[in-house]
Formats: sequence, C-alpha cells, structure tokens
Amino acid sequence: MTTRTQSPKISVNSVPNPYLPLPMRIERIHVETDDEMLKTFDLAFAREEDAAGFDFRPGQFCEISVFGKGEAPFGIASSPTETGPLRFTVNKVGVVTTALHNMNEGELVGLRGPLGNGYPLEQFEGHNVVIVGGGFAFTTLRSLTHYLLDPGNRSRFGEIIIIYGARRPGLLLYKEDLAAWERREDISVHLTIDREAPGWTKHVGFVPDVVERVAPSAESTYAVIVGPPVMIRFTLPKLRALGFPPEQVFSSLERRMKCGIGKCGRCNIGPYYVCKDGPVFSLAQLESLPQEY
Amino acid sequence: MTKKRIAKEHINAFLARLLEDYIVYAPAEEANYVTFRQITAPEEVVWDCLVTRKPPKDVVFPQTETLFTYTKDADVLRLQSMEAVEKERILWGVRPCDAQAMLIQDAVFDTPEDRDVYYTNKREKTWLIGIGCNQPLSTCFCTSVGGGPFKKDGMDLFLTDIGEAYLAEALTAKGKRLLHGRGFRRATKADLKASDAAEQTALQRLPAPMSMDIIKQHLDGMMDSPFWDEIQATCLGCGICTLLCPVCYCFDIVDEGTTTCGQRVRNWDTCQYSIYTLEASGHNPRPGGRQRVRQRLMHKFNYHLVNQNLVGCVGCGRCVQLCPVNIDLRQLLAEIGAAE
Ligand SMILES: Cc1cc2nc3c(=O)[nH]c(=O)nc-3n(C[C@H](O)[C@H](O)[C@H](O)COP(=O)(O)OP(=O)(O)OC[C@H]3O[C@@H](n4cnc5c(N)ncnc54)[C@H](O)[C@@H]3O)c2cc1C
Ligand code: SF4
Ligand code: SF4
Ligand code: FES
Repeated sequence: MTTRTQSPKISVNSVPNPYLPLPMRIERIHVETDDEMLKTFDLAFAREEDAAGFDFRPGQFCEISVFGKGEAPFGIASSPTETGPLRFTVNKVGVVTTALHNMNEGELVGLRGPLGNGYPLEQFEGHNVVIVGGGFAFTTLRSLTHYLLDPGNRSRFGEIIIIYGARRPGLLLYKEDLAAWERREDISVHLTIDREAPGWTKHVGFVPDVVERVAPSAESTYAVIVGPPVMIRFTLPKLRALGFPPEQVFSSLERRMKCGIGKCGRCNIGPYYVCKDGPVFSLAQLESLPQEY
Repeated sequence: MTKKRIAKEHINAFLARLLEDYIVYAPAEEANYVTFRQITAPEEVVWDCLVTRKPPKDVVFPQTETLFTYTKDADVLRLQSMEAVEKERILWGVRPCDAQAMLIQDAVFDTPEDRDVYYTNKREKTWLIGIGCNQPLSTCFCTSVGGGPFKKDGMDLFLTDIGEAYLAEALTAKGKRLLHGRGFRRATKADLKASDAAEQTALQRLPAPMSMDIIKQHLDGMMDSPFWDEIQATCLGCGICTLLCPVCYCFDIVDEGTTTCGQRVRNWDTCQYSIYTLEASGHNPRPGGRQRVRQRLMHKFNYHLVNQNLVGCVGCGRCVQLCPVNIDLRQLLAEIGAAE
C-alpha cells in the first residue's frame, strides 16, 4: 500500500532536500461553489524539468506554500492520467487558505510532494469500486474517478459507483465532471442534496441514507469513503450492514500537518503518521487506532 | 578499541587543541544554568553537570533554525537553503543518555526515503566525546530504559574519571584519530580496574530496571483508562517535559516575512499544547489534557517500540527535575507496570 512515487526535489550537494518547495504558477483559478468558499487552482510547473519528475497516484497530497503565510496540505484533485497542470480545490478556512484565495492567476506559489500513500489501486484491480463522498472532500475522489475511467485503466476494474452529496446543489464540486460522468454508461453516479431544491431531480437526503438506498453489493467490491467525520460515522454502519468487511473499506484522514514526511510528529496517531503511512487507511487499520482524528 | 589514560592536568590542553580545529559544544554556564553551548576556552566547561538544562540535541536540531530564505517577484522564486554545514563540530562531555537520545533521533531524521538534510548535515559533521557518570543523580534512571552510566553507544571517544586521570577509549576510527598527542599514555591494568570499579559503584546508585516490555503491553490496553485523568488533573500542559527532553523531536514550521521576501523557520514544538493538533475548522483530535498526557507516554513507551523497537526515553530525568508540578515519570511508569 505504501508504494513510493517519484518526487522531484531540489538538491544542494546532491542530497535531495525534502523541505524545499518547487515553484508553481497559478494557471487558472475557478470558483467552485456558489458560496465562493471553494476555489480550484490549476498549478503549472514553473520549470519544465520539475514536471517530468513529478509522478503521483490518486489519493496523494501536496504541501502548498504561500510565501510569508506558510504551508498547508491539499489533496491532489487531478489524476495522473490527465495531462496539464496539477489541480487543487481549496476551502477558505484560515491563514494559508485565505491568502491563496486572494491570489491571482499568474502568481507563484510553492509545492512539495507528492506526499502520502494514495489509494491502493493495485488492490482494487479486478473489483468493483464504490466511491462515497461528502461536501468539499471530493478532491482526491475526483482524481481517483478520473484514473479509474481512463481508457487505459477502465477495463482493469469492475463496476464503478459514485455516491456524492452536498448540502445544496451549488456546493457540489466539479459540476462539469459530474455531468460528463452521468452521461457515461460505465459508471453510475448518485448525487444527493440534504433538502429539496427547485429544479433538483436527483436524490434528496443524507449520504448514509442514499448509500442504503443504492445498496451496492459488497461482493468483490471496495468502498472508498471520504467526507466530513459525521458523514463517515453514519455511513460506516450502512456499509457494514451491506456486508462490507473493514478490510474492503478505505478512507482518507485529515490531520494537521507540517513536514508531510513523518518527521515533525504532528500527525501521529498510534504507531502511524498520517502524512507518511496515510492519509489513506483501511477501516481495519482505523479500528485499531485511538480515536484521534 | 584503543584505550589510553590522560592525566587530569593535561585534559584542558587536549580540549584546547580540539578548539583549534573544531567548533566545540560543551556543558557551560548560560544565564543561571548549565546548558550545551559553544565554548571558546576549556575553562568554560562545567565538568560536574550531568544533566544540562537544554540537551545537546540543540546542536544538531536547534530550538529555532532557518530552513531557507525566499525572495519572490512576478517571475522568479529564489530559495536559499541554509542546510550547508562547513566546519566539523565536537560535542564535548556528552552523557550516555544524551548520546542514546541522538541515536533515536537519527532514526527519525535520517530515513532512506526522506533525509532531513538540516539534521543529517550537522550530524555527519558532529563527533561525540562522551563522559561516564560516576555519580548518577537521584533523578537518573538510564538503566531502566536500556542505558547505563557508562554506555558508549554513539560515542566516538569516551572518558571515564578514574581519580587523577581519565581513561580515554576510542570507539570509532574518528575517535582513534582524536586520541593522540601530548598527555596521552598507555592505560595500565590499574586504570582499567579503576574504570570498572567506577562503573560498578555508579550502577549501584541507580534504581532497579523496569520491564519496558511489560509497560508497553499494559499501555496497549490503557487507551480508555482513568489513569490519564489523574495525571492531567495536575499537569499544567506547560510542555517542559517534552521541549527539554533529549528524545522529543516535534517541530513546527512557520514563515517569517512578507509575500516577497523572508524565511521559513522551524522551531521545537510539543504535543502537550492544545494548538498542536487544533485544526482550522475548530476540530481538535486531542482536545483535552487527558489525550495529551496519554500521547506523551504512549508515544514514548508504546508507539516508539512498534516503530523503532526502542523506547522513546533515555532516563535522563530532565522531565522529572523540571516539571513545575513534580509529575514524576518514574512513578507513572511504575504504576503502569503494576497496573492490571
Ligand atoms: C492530507 C490532507 C489533505 C487535505 N486536502 C484538502 C483539500 O483538498 N482541500 C482543502 O480545502 N483542504 C484540505 N485539507 C485541509 C487543509 O490542509 C486545511 O484546511 C488547511 O491546512 C488550513 O490552513 P490555514 O492556514 O488556512 O488554516 P489555519 O487555521 O490558519 O491553519 C494554520 C495551520 O494549521 C494547519 N491546519 C489547520 N487545519 C488543518 C487541517 N484540517 N488539516 C491539516 N492541517 C491543518 C496547517 O498546518 C496550517 O498551516 C487537507 C488536509 C490534509 C491533512
Ligand atoms: S522522557 Fe524524561 S527522562 Fe525520558 S528522556 Fe525525556 S526528559 Fe529524559
Ligand atoms: S512538565 Fe509537568 S506540568 Fe509541564 S506538561 Fe510536562 S507533565 Fe505537565
Ligand atoms: S506532518 Fe510531520 S509527521 Fe506528519
């Protein structure tokens, strides 16, 4: 599960320095939700040579630097199968994220990564995949979905089901992607919002209830569930009732981070460091850990 | 390896020779306490301080350290890393517990997948000249955690006080190279005997070892124990026990400067502060003292064993000496060991 990926690192004296960020140019900023709290940033490598060495997998994350404000970790929302810039979707909550929101296209930020383990794609091969997401945590799930649907990969996986919910339609991320996926035959997409809204014809209700309604079979199926803690807490029993054993359910944890490489201690839970041993863990692993997430 | 004797009257001359070629850090006075700091003359060394206020980790993992400076204009980002280390350093008078702590930190900072160059560059140029502890303090418990007052792990050169002289033992090729010049004589049988005697006397002053395996096993089942509530009822959460612990390596990274120029700095940090884990949303995975005191002990005496097969404590007793409300780690460990 911890397959290492390549990361280009600036080095002085030939030893790579994992703390030095790569320069990235903000190529495009897109307001993602109607409350304008989420913006998507497409970051292009400012130096050709860095792009070539950057090899990542869905579920990994990067530390983005806004110089003078600091660094914060964000899941990679683009897929390695997509060419072009790296995509991140950022919720405006604090110092670094607000500073990012105030930046303009063309400006430079720093990037360290890819960090963390990513989703266990090898394990998923030959099986169905149920992707359950809530709110703005859909970022790495977008990466995963694009990866699974890529023409070079699609045949290696079974049925693909997405169940994705937000409070209101305007808070769903990646509306264009969702629309494109809904048109496809080889994936079934179930979108839901908390309460009825004008013009909304899809599911209404909380994610756990929609999971129960859609009732994906646990037979030869992996479930990936990422979202707010409450959503996860109430969805897990539904998955269990459907017969998913904890080894077949994966989630991605968020913990405050600094170094991102298992040194600074901040993201420690039990014997794991979320940044290095995660952020993706099986439910079986999570059940063995203290409830510190 | 090679053992020699050096009469005490010659030891300062030896140190003076080292000062010509190396940056030397040693236990020395600073304000009203003794700490590991750079010295410029042998006379600055405080010989009888076993446990310095700040541990020598400060030399390779400074309390505050600039990682790089940055300047950014519209088109270019320039980073200047501060990782290069020119001159070799000597840690003079390191005690066995503090040397053991550095070995534990090595395993954290120097991993094959991510070398922390700020640490490893300093560490590779740092040589340890240790000294044994003839008279362990009442707060010392190194033998409980696998160490000992004359343990030489991690040392390049090791001195043992044998009365009129020091027995000097080289443990690495580097140590052997340092061990020459005026003042050094062949060690006699009597010197070796005196060294053994010093070690035996010191060992008798230390408490009986505890079983770290049993403590680890008991901790496995103590996640929900009321034990943590009892500790947190007195703990102030000041963080001293961790900040000044020679093993603890938690750090924070912050930017100092503007959006166009400044520096990225790392500072020692501690899991005993609530903001350590506080997230932007307001959610805190370790919201109370209970979870934080538990984290300190679990990390040192359980998770560390899982990850490194080493206890995250070297028994230096700093936390015992310096805790403002007298929380005594040895007593906590005894209670955990005795728990059902
Ligand atoms: C693996 C991972 C992936 C993430 N992916 C995304 C994403 O795709 N989109 C997104 O919007 N957010 C994501 N987050 C959360 C995001 O990192 C935080 O919201 C962000 O760090 C807040 O920084 P701030 O400076 O704006 O907030 P402040 O409160 O001002 O935070 C100051 C510092 O606290 C830390 N911090 C605070 N909250 C968190 C948190 N929840 N997680 C980690 N560090 C925190 C950071 O180190 C930050 O520099 C992710 C977190 C992790 C751990
Ligand atoms: S926990 Fe206390 S006794 Fe153990 S190494 Fe740290 S400061 Fe020393
Ligand atoms: S030094 Fe004592 S009071 Fe301070 S955090 Fe440690 S145990 Fe608590
Ligand atoms: S973020 Fe530093 S150890 Fe995980």
